[in-house]
Amino acid sequence: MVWSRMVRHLGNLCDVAVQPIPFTIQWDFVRDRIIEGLVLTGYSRYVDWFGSLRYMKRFREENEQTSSGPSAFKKQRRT
Amino acid sequence: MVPSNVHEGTAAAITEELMPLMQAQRAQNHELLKHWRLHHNKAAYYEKALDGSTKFQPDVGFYYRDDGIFFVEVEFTQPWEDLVQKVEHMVQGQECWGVLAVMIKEGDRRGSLPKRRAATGDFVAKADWFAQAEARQVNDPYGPVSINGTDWTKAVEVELCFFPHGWIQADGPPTKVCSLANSTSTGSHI
Repeated sequence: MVWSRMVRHLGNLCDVAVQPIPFTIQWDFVRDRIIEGLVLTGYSRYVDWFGSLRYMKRFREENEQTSSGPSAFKKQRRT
Repeated sequence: MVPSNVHEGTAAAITEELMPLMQAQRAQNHELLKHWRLHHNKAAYYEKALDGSTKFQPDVGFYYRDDGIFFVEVEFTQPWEDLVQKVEHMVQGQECWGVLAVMIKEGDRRGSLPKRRAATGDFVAKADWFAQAEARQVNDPYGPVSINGTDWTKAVEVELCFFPHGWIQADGPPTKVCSLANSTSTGSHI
């Protein structure tokens, strides 16, 4: 395996005997992130088409009552 | 151009998977890890320039004393031919053991986005947008993300290939690691 040979080679460069840990990836995890990325990319394209500033303004108007996060926190502190 | 969420999310997911691997190796051989680093978008050098460029920027790279030794490339909108040409040059590096490439091929998007300007009635609240998109993905995870009759992303095919050191196009197609489209694979050895 290429990965194990590479790790052994690095060990040789450092003059260390190495037992390589096999290159293993949980591909299902990567798969889930790709699927999530497709939705996020689609949403980003939609917002670009709608007009990002226009969308943000509309979103803020609709969510003013339920807004959270640092900006809402600042407003509360001022009162 | 700002990288897409598909591209960045995939590169980040692979890094999250590789970090424990490095940490486990570090636990066994601390000396080894003194000069072994994992980076995102760190410059590396071609042995032979590609189209005048002497440097490239892999999505994920392992470096030993600043030499790129193993790379991961994620391709989403980039044409396959361009990726292969780039990777072919990357793997000629004397210190490079190979490149793992994740290829996410989107269907033809020509004419898929609306040409008209968005009207007020086209507004879809973020929560609704995500709920609709995610509901459609349940039965077809790599299918189009379609809202209000528009495919905002087309169906994709995903493949993983490994290009070993010294690979050239004349060698034929690279080693296919697995196809993620229908795979329930939980591990793969390179």
